[in-house]
Amino acid sequence: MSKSKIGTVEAIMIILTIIVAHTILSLPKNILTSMKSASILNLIYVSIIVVALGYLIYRLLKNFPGLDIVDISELIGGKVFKNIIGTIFMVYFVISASMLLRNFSESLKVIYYPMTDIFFIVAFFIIPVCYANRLDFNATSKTNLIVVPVVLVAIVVLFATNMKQFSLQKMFPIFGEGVVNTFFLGLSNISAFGGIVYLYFLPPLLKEPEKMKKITLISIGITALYLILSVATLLFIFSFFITTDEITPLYNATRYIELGDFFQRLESVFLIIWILAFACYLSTISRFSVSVFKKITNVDNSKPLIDIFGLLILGLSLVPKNYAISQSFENTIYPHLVIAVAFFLGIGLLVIANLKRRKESRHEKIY
Amino acid sequence: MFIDTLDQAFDIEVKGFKQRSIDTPNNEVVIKGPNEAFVENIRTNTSILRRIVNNENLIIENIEVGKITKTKCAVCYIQDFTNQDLINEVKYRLNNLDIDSLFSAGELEQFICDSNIFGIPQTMATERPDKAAKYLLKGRVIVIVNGTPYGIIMPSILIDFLSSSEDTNLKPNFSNFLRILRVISSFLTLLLPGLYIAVTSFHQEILPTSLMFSILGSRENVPFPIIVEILLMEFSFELIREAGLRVPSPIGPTIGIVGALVLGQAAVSAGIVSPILIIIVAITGIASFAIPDFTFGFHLRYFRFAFILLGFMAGFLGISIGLFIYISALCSIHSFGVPFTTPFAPVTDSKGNGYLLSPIWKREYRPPYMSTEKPKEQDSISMKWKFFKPFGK
Repeated sequence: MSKSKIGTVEAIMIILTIIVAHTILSLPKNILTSMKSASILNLIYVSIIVVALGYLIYRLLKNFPGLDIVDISELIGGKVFKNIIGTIFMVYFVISASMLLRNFSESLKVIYYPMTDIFFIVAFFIIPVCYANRLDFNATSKTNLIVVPVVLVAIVVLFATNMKQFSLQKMFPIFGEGVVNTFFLGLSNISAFGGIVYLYFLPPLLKEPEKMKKITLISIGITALYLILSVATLLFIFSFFITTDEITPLYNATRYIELGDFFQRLESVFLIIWILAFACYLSTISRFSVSVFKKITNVDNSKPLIDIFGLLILGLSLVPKNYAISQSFENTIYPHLVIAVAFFLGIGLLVIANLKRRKESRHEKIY
Repeated sequence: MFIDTLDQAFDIEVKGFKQRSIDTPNNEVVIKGPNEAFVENIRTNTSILRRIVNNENLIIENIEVGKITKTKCAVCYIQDFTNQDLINEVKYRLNNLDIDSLFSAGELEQFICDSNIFGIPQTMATERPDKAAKYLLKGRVIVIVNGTPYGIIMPSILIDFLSSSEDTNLKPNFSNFLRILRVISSFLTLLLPGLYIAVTSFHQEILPTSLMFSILGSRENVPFPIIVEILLMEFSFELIREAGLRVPSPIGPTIGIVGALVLGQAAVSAGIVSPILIIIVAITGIASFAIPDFTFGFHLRYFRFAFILLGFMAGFLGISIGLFIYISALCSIHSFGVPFTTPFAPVTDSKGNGYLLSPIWKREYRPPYMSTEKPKEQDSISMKWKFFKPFGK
């Protein structure tokens, strides 16, 4: 990554890019499928847990100022362990990016470009992302800073303009399919907060590292609010049977917006905003992949890697034969990947590193 | 020349050159502001600036650029508070130009700008000495080139290109209204034709049914595909604009009227283009004239063709991807160390120096992104007549 640092607001927007990209696709649908009428309650509950986990991550990272998760893993198990952990995160970023890119491109193909080969739609994203990544890291973070607030406002507008279609009875029964389903099985919905993985890589990039706590809590809070608004919009408009069959349910919600007789069917306007946000997500995640690769291989010049990673994401996104396969990957495998890497692996590494440091400091005190 | 206490006098020949007298600005017309413009002679320009600023801390340093022409460039700044690093950087760039000649401020701008990405300007040229003085007092550096009636303001950021020198002469309500209008006109200049082609080709559902029928009906007899139609009209408009610059002034406005009205009407009557497209092109052209800075307006006019092609190829997907690249490019630019998209990205407290103006009594600070040595330019209660009445009254 570039030596230039980013500010607090830019860091928050970087974390929000993941949730924005994921929410456009099937994340709200998955939550509604599993939780039914208890979706909002479940999201509030999961958000509280993620806030606690986020605070834990902040406290654990605080003991390693200026280091990211890859550097911390080197402290735990040397260079080999660092390379293994770096590779895991890099593969996670690449797979997430390619899978979401495929699904988003497929949804665009279904809606607007049925005669276009999926390769061209995917390439239409990859080429500008490769170009944008050649610019300084600050360009990406500033672009996120401009685009993400627009997306956040868009979801509020979507919620507000659809209020006359809302049927609040769909919130009941409030516990959905039961307390166990809502509060225990529903814990898997912490995968919605996949943006938390960026927290592990932020410390060396921050202009004001002391604001890490603020970044963590605000980003999780905004993510939760965004998710709740998205899910609430779908919950109150559609019945579960319709919602669970939709490709991009949030897009379908935009088709119900009517502002008088003149402004109707404004879904394409939202599409501009979501495509921008998705391009920002791709740019950010591919940048992090390149920087992790650069760190584990000690490459001097990372610019040639940008195109290679772009091609890798393009290639991986074209691996699934059809939309059904890529969507099933997003719905079944991806949430578990997020929980495994972003939560278990990340927090596990930080806990081990902290314990090791505590043990070493005790030894130093004795001797 | 007689010198006191000397018993000799000096006979000195003082040669002068014929030069253009101070005139009104041609390209930056304001209603309420002064009507003086820079001229070609550097001494006249620096004297105007000195008269306006009227402070001994205004430093004007002369630097010669060009091995053959040795063109004089005056680097102007207020010593009291202008950031020393900025001054040093400007002088460094001017002193390290290994060129034979320099003829205009436009050439100098190209030599000293940080990057040439998408042709986005990073310095601003002004022919108004009052505008130059205002920017001097905000901590900028002005470079005046001998032989050009323009001063180059550096650094310049995005909001500067959408601001006019008229803005500070009006009440903030009016100037903010105009500033919002200019932002809308920038979007229209850049995106309107592209959006039109994207909507009519891919996203017809946005249009109300009656409007869609009207557009389709007007295009019924047009033999060309929409992309050919729109490129034809856009190029024609640019041709008319360029021709208007070259034609002698007595018939210049006539050509504009003939070209715009008669040819446009004739094209519609002949069924070559649709009437709605004439409106789109006309609105785009008028919007481009609303942008105060010529170079920035040119850049937007130039890039609208890219968005036309992207809109034709992929509809709103193409437009969004184009916007993504454009915003990334804007965010990557620095003008003499100041990020181009300040104060929006990165988010900084502009202290009343953002795009929308606060009331004049609240503009207490110089722009923080200039890192001036005296951040405050007026007292928190500047209108002392209003709040501090003399004793006994």
